[in-house]
Amino acid sequence: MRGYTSVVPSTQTPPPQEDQVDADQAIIERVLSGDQGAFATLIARYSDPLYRHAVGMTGSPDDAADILQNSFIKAFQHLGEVRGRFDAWVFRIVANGCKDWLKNIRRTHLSYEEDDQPSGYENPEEELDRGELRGDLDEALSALPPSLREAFVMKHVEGRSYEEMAELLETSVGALKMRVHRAREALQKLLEERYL
Amino acid sequence: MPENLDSRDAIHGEPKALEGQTRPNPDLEPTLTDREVPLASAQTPEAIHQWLDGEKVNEDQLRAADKAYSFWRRVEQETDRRSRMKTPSSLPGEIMKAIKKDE
Repeated sequence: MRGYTSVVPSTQTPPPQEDQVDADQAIIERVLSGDQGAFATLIARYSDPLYRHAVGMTGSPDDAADILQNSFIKAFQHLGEVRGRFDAWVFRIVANGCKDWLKNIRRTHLSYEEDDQPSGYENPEEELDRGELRGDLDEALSALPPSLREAFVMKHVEGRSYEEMAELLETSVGALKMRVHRAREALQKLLEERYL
Repeated sequence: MPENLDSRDAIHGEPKALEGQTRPNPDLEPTLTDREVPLASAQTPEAIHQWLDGEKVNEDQLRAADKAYSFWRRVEQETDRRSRMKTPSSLPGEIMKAIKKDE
């Protein structure tokens, strides 16, 4: 009997439920009524996936933090303009911040600083091996066109579904599948000599 | 107004050649970052794409693409590690401080 396998995508960024959208709206109304501190709830709720997106796009945790800070300040200043989902609106601010960063800074090699998470590797050799892949993957990602890099990061790092990506980027599922597939092809081409 | 909140205004669209134009117009060329990688013809087996997309895939097909399967498993482990990244703990406080300072 033939076996089947499947990957359950790591959905770290599930789309908010309807009550979550309502809860966000209630917080927005509190902030607009003068309760500035309530904005911290929105930051706490959405900063992690947005940070991952910015790190994935820039390859730099420091620049990602700057983009996130500027984006949330901008979001606060224009909070009255939110129509619909706050998370989608603030995502677009961050995504555009990343694209502006990419337009302004061209890097041939991006280092990926270690985060605070434990490595979880079995032994030092494995960690060294993974460290090399980490650096090479960053370099390969930095060589991708921004639209392909964005699609790959959203799919593989943020764990979003194509439907969620389509909603956030306001494009079709088919177009995004194409971008992710093209990104994979390009990454494999760039890395195959060393890893295949 | 924020400078640009519409992702469609970003870098996605492919520039179109003007009618009758025989030489590329530099103003319509993609940006440098959009031209860096010549995209290769398909080399990743379709079964691998399906597997990476979370679809059911026959194990025999994956085994047939042994090297690519092994490579993408490693990439998946790395992207999975990145997917657990957290915002630096000081950042939310810094954002709120900046917001209050601006007011």
